[in-house]
Amino acid sequence: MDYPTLRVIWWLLMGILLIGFMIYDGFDLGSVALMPWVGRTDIERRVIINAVGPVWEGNQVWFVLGGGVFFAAWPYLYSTAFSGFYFAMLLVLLTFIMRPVGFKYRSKLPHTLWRSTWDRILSTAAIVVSLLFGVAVGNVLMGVPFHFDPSLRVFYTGSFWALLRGFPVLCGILSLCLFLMHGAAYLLVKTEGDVWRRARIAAMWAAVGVGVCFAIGGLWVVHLPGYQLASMIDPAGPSYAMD
Amino acid sequence: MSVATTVLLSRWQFGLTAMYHFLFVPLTLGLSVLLGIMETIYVMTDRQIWQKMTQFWGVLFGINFVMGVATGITMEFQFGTNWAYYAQYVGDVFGTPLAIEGLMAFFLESTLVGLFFFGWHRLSKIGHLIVTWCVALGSSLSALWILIANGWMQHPVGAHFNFETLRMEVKDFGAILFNPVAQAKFVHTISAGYVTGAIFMLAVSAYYLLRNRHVAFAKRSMTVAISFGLASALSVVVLGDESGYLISENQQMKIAAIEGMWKTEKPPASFNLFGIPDQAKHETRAEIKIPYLLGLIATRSLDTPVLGMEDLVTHAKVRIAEGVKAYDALMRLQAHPTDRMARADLTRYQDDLGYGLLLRAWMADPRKATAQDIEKAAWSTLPDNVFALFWSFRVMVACGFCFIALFGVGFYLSAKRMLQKRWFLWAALCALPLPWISAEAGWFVAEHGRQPWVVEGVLPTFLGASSLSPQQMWVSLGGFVLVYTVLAVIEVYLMQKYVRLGPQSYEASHETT
Repeated sequence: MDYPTLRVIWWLLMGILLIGFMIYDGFDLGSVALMPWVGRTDIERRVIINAVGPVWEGNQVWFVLGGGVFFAAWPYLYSTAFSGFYFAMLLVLLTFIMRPVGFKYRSKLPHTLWRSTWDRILSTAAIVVSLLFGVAVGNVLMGVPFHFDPSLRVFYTGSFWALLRGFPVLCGILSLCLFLMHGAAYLLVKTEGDVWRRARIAAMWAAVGVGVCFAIGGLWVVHLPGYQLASMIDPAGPSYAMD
Repeated sequence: MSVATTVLLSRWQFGLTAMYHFLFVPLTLGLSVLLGIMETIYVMTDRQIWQKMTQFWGVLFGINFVMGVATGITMEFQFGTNWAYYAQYVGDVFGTPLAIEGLMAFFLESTLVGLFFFGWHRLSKIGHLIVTWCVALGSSLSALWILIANGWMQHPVGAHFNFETLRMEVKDFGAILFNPVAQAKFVHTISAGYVTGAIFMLAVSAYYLLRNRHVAFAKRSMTVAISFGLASALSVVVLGDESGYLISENQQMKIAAIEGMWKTEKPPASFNLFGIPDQAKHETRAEIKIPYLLGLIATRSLDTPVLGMEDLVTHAKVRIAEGVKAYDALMRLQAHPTDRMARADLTRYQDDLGYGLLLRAWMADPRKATAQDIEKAAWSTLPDNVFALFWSFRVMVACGFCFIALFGVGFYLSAKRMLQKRWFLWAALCALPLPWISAEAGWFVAEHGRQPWVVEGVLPTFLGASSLSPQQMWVSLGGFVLVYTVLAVIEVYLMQKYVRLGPQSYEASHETT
């Protein structure tokens, strides 16, 4: 198999995995992120958790798989991103450690404090992850400062806070709204009563948020460096310079 | 200096998080198969008690399982966050089994584990049984792919160095897949997991019988645990011997360090039952030797010598000198990619390139190395702590023989219907920590024994680390210790609470409440 074909296969696989992640993990992240507003009582929050209970574990695999495919297919990207964004990555990792434990252990003890603490951890983790994914994509669109030395060792010269620039943060809010809308829609299918009514309101507000962020982002991206068409595309040029 | 600190802290962080991860993995491996066995008996005999058993042990399995999943993600992350240069240097080879593990095993396991807990009323009997076995299969497959990746770090076959991309690339995926070291490690590790599951079930059942609670339930659990455990304990020792044989072929320094053997002995070498290795003086004091044994285990012959550490250092010196030539050829190639001579030199010496890189611990350019530098680098091919290696290995092996004895006696008592002997129950209960001690000791032997290499003979560990600052490392290491300690306390608390509750805990913990 020649190199360009292989590359297309990996791009395709990566695309499928990321779309799979957005679709499958999107609704459980969104549902759980909405918990503080949609689920007011312990029983209501239990209803929300049970709606995603049997499936969240399988959903999370999409994310782990995405990581594995990055590692195997684009080791340079994997090592640059993971070591460069050290604390951002550890923050994502922390949420992915707390989520399985929270889902599983919440029901193991009947105490109110125990359960409400796990509820808070679960929804915070879901919100942080949803935000960070957008921030990550935003930073990819803008570019980040790193360089290689002669032995191809990578050095990231930014900092954690340098990732939180205006445009990536907007992308973060957009992805949070998307996940919330997705989660609310899932709860509309799976629940009834008060939870359903609140989910409906949440879905509408999240949809408004998506629309607004998307519109601002569309206007903003035009003014980002590197996103104007400066010359005609050369059809005979290399298909992709860095990979 | 700060680079050395970063490397050291990164090693501690990886070691601690890996060992923590492996507190949960063996129990997942073992209990998942035991659940499959119990549920099969339930489906075949249609007796409720076997379903109750599957459900109760399933609750304990679940408490443990999530911790394995949660801490496993840390491992995948750390290759990128803390071992960035390693990840890009060997990612083409090492990343592939990891990705396949995710696609194949982890997917199967995680998608179906939800059905195991939630599906008792929604699936048919056979359907649920299939789910349970798929979870067990997924766990074992997961171990297979991880150990193929790990086996490659111990014995890097089927890959070659590409000077254009400055990294290792896959040459023969079949060789990586059927790496004998990986296969031996896989069977040894999963049987160790099965032993862990069996000892756990045996000890908890013994606890019930000692208190005269849930007797029918505990006796049945015990019988299953004993028969499964005896088979697993026998295979873990036999397959461990196979691992030892393969190590002695591929990682001679590891076997010499495990033995505390500084000088080559006349074959067949004796095995040190006891000894106090002294790394500074290059001697092992107070040795108690069993003649012939090491020679037989390591070489399976009477006349092949097992090389001692001092002789291996002499060999390393030669390889380092050749490695410098490889490095020199690589530098010439980088300056003039079409240089034929340089290319021929690199091809000739590239197997020793990793040895040349050892010198990078002291100098930016290995070509400037003096004879003293090479001597120093050659001595660095010894693992840092021979004493710890020597003793972890003996602890692991001793535990292995304890398991055989315990399950053997149990099997006899079970056949004679005398399982309720109190001395046996106490012995079973006391054995509870042993599988974890031996598993951790075993991993320490495998991974510390590989030092100073992250990939044996290919890439030294200190080069593999990310370019992070010691401050970043202190913060993250502290964070891991804190979070992991809290989670460990919670896990142990829940586990003992549900063990005390006994079989009715299935209702108490039911997922939907």
